[in-house]
Order: sequence, then structure tokens, then C-alpha cells
Amino acid sequence: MSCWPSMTRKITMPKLKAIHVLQYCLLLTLVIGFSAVPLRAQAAPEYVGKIDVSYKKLPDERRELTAVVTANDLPIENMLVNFYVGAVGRDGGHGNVATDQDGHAVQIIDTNVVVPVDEEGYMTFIVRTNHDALGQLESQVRIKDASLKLSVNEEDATITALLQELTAEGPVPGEMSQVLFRVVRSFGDIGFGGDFTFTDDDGEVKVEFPSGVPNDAEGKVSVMVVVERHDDYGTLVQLLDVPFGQAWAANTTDTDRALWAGRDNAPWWLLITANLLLVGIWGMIVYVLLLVRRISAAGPKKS
Amino acid sequence: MEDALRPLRHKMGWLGRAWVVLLLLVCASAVYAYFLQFKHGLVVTGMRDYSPWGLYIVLFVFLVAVSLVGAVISSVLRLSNFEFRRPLTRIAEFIAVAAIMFAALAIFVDMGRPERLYKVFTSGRLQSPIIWDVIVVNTYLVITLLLLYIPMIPDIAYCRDHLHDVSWWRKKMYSILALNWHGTDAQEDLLHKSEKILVVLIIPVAVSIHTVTSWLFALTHRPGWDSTAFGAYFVSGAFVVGVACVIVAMYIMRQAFGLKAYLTDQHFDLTGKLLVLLSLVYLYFNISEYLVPAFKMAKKKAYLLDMLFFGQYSMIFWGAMIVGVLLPVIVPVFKKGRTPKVLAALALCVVIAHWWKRFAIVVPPLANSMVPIDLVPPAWVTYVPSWQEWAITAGLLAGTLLVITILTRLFPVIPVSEIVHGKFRKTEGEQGAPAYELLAIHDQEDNHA
Repeated sequence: MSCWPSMTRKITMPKLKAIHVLQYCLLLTLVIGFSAVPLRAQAAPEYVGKIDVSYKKLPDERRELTAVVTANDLPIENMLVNFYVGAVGRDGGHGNVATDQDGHAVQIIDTNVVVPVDEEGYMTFIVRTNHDALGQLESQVRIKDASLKLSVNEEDATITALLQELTAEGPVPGEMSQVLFRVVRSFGDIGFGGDFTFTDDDGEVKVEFPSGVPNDAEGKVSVMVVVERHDDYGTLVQLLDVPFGQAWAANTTDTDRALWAGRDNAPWWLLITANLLLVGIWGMIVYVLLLVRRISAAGPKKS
Repeated sequence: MEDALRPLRHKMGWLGRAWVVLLLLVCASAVYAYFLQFKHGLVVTGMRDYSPWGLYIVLFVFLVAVSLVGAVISSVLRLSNFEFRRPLTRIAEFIAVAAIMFAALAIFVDMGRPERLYKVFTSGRLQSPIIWDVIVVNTYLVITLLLLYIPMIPDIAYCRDHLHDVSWWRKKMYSILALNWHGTDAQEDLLHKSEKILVVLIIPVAVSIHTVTSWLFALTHRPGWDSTAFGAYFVSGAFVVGVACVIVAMYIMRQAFGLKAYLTDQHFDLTGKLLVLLSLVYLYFNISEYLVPAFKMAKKKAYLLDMLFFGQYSMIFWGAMIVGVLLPVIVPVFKKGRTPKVLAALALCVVIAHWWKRFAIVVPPLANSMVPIDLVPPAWVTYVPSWQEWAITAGLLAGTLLVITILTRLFPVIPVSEIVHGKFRKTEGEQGAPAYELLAIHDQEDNHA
């Protein structure tokens, strides 16, 4: 096959002339120069800072305040946020927390902290932060104290949530609010009860627990009930273990070999096939390595 | 043989140095990005509950596909007696070795807890396709390395004997790697025996690596992945992208090292035809993969197909299909489409399109969750890679190119002994020991015989 040209033909590389180098350098300088010069048609963007605060009452009655600091909707990390209960000032100060990479700062208020209530029955929580460029940012949230209680009826497998507003005169039924029911899972919760679970005039809402939800090793299912982002009550969370789950039968036949079994119970056909293949292929690789090793010995002896 | 040794003798020009500096900068940024990922965890990426796999897995699948080129050129074409493959084998093996090395690294980078890697070996389940993939990737890496090194021994010996004006460490390296090669009959026998075993062995292993990689997806119930033809689909795609990579590398090395005498227009003509053939097979599998579920439009698959054909991934999907599947079927059919420049440009587009093709295979089915989360944050549903992911991905690609660049500067790109068919002229070297010297390949008398 005469497709291979002569090896003796000389091939010369084209020479790079100085003029080419000069042209490339000039082009590079222009590119870098124009990218560095602030030839903007528009003015540099102005940053507008913002701080938001949200309130959540936890199942153990502690209160959680979350402040979010942003500038032009971008989160600001490492901003020190001061939390106040009732009023700004030394009496109301409740510590400061730095924001994380999402701009969030979370502060927990223990149950032993007395939160002042105004004439309208609202508690006030204030967050404040100071930034050199953004200035002083402040936000507050006014919340009416409320509680969310859960009860279970094992006969008809229902869960009842009672929302109450805690007034100076005692608990009263809460405003009509949507209450969300969720089964707690490791990676994301599952909602149940439907989309229209609103409290009635007595502050109650009742939902049926769905069948077929697997329970844990102790035979229980964790349920979380939430009133989410209410205008007056904030977010209320309650947790409950209910005995309505479906028993999950663990694989007690430890000696069964299957593709889905544990490590020690791989099927025999897989063990034999895989090991035969591995031994065969790697055996050939080792044989080739031995042949290669002999190449050195097969050469002329070095004197 | 001076043409083959010229890149090894001369220092890199300013363009080559700029290329290496660029690759090193990209790798450095990848190292920094990985440091952040290691420090903060995978939360710095765009991967969340819906999309636990992202750019790293896309890159892994892509590099595994690229690495098939070693098996194609070195083995399949050799066993099929395609002589034109001879100057291409070294380039193909360089690409294969570099690609499979960084494919393995892509998996490591994807691990949230890389310090637990040892558990793969101590606690791995043999029933797991991931364990199969680990085994087969490592096996393929070893075989590819051997298939690069063993046929290169005579060339390394030639460098040992003729490259005297290089640095001392290179001389030492050639001397060690040459394994006292002097072209004796016994050495020739051992070499050819080893080559024959590896050439046959690599084919089932290469098919296995792509099949097992495809099974990482196909052995799930996820719509878009749950397909019996995924193995063949992946293998056929790997053939296309592998050959495209070789075409690009051929063109670059031909221009950079002045190897037009070896990487001739006819090589481009023939690899162009090969590209058409392989692309036709891949087109067939693509039609099968998408037409069958599109005809039935089962609910979950319909959602996925809608995303791919008309939705948020439609640009990526159709771009990859047109550039990566249709164009290589059409353009090289014409003679002008098989000229070096045109074919290399097309091949480069095909390589890029195939990366996006794998993105379209990996990411969109993940958005179609099998276990939906109530009130899921929107950011979890749509996968948007973070800058760290892009930097690390770019770094791995740059690393692949850097390894190829280094290999082309240390070892002859043109496999000298392959071209000469073993026609050596033995002269007397030092102290009477036989020395290895090649005949000119264009020997008129031999060719007319």
C-alpha cells in the first residue's frame, strides 16, 4: 500500500515573524485595556439592603426568630444581626447572631423569657443590623401568642388540631387558618388531609390519617402539624407520634440470597460469574505483565 | 524518523506554553473550588434532593465514552485489518488513558465524603452496579495503560538510542521504560504475544465498561433511564465521540507537529467515513430510545419527553441531537466534508454536543422525581450547577488535555514500529550489541513486491 509518503522529505515549520508577535501583543493589549476601562453605558448598580424577620413557635413552646439579610435580593453573609424582644434597647436585647451563607440568622427565645404584650395583644420582635454600605436595617414582626394542640382518636384514625389564641383572659379559638398535616420523613415530608384543612369556629380541624404509611421500628409514625406564616400567629409547629402506620416487615430470612439482599447474601450465580470473570481477566493481565518483565531479560546482557 | 522525534527534541513554542499555562490555571481554579467543596460539603454545588447527580456524573459518563477510542483504534480496527489506523493508535491510546484516569477522578470529586472511599473495597455489595463500575473502570484503566505502554516499548528504545540532547531525567526515563529493548527475536515474540492478548482482551472490557456505566441508569425505574437498550445505546455513542476526539487530536497534532506526511488527507477521509457509519448506528439507537416512549406517552415519560422536546431542556436536547447525531451523518458523506479542516471542525462540534447529550441523559430524568417532596423549594427541582461545579468540571477536562499534552511531548505521537511493520535494520551499536534502527517506510522496491 503506497499511501505512506517518503520519510526523507523535509518538512519545514512556518516561521513566526516579529510582526505577527507584535500584532498579537497589540490585540491582547487592546482587549485587556478596554475590559479594564470603565466604559459603562449605565451607572454602577446601587445596592439596596433589606432585612426580614419571621417568627416560629416550636413544639416545645420555644420561639424561633429568623432574620434574612439581603442586598438586591442577594444574601449577605457574616452580618451581625441584633435581636430585640419588645423594644429596641438594652432591656429588650436578646443577643446577636451572624448571618450564614444564605443570609439567615436564627435566634431561639427560651420559654423562661417574658415577652411583653401590648394593648392589642401583640408581642413585638425586632431585628436590626448595621452595614457600612447598606446603612442601618431594621425589621419587626408583631405576633399574637397562639398554641397548636393535637389529639388523636385511635378508633377512627383521625388527628384533631386545636388552634387557640392565648389572650390575657385565657385561650380563645384562633382565627380561621389553614393547618397543614405532614408525615415526617428523612428526605422531605409527605402532606396528607387534603388542600382545604382550615380550622372551624372552634379553632379545630380534623383529618383522617391515610392508610398504608409504613411505620418505624417502634411501630410509630411521626406527624408534623403546621400553621404556616399566619399574619398574626406566625408559624406554629407541633409534632406527634401516632400509632397508625402500617407495620413494615423486615427481611427476617437472613439466609435468602438475592440481588437485593445484603452484602453477605449475594446470589451464588453472581458470585461465581463475577469471580470467574475477575480471575480470568486479571489473570491475563498478570500474565501479560510477566511477559513484559521477561522482555528486559530477553535483551542483550549489559556488560 | 526525525519527524516523529521533532516534538520531543524541540522546546515548546510560545503557543504551546500559553496552552499549558491556560490548562494549569484552569486546574488551579478547580483545586480551589474543590477545596471549598471539601470544606463546606456538596451544598456548594447545585445538587439537591431532586438532582443528586449533576455535572460530575455527566463528565464521568462523557470521559468513559471518550476512552473507548483506545479500544476502537487499537483493537477493533487492528483485528479488522484496517491499515490506515496505524498512525492513529498512539493518539488514540493517549486520549484513552487520559480520559479514563480523569473519569475515575470525576467519581471521586462527586463523593460528599471522599475519605470513605475505602469502604467501597471493604464494605461493597457485589450486587451493586456501582461496584461493578468500580471494578470495570479500574480493569479498563490497567489494560489501557498496558496497551499504551507495551506497543510503545520499541519507540521508547528508539528515543533512548537517538534522543541525546534532552534532559537527564528524560534519558533516564527512556532507559528504564525501554526495558533493555534491542529488537531481538525473543523480545519481538514476547512483545507481539502481549499485544495480541491485550488487543483481544480490551474489547470485551471496553464494551463492559460502557454497558455497566449505562446500567447505573438503566437498572433503576426512573423514566428516561429505565430502558433495556441503554447498554448498546451508550456503547454506540461512545464509538462516535471516541472517533470524533481522535479526529480533533489528529488535526491538532498534524498542524502542531508538522505530521502531514503521516496523518494524511486519506486518514481524514477514512475516519470521516467511519464517523458516518458509527453515527448512523447511534442515530438508530436514538430514534429507538425516544420514538418508542413518545409513541406511547405514558404519564411520567410524557412529562420527561415534554421537558426534552419542548420544555426547559429542549435547546440542549435538540442542539445535541442535531450537532452530535445528525450532522456527523450528513456532512462527512460529501467529499468536502471529509477534508481535514472541515472534518476536524465538525468533530470538535460533535465532541461538545456529545457532552451536552450526556447532560440531557443524566439531568432531565432527575427533575422528574419518583418520590416527590411536599412543598419542595423550587431551587431543588431545577438543577443549576454552581461555579464550583463548573470550575471542577473544567479542571478535570483541562487535566485530561494536560495529560495528553505531556504525553505527546514525552513520547512519539506516531508509532514508528507500527508503520514500519517491523522492518528493522539492525546495526552494530555500542560494544557489539545490536542497535535498533528503522528503515525508511517508503521503500519503493518493497512496495512494488
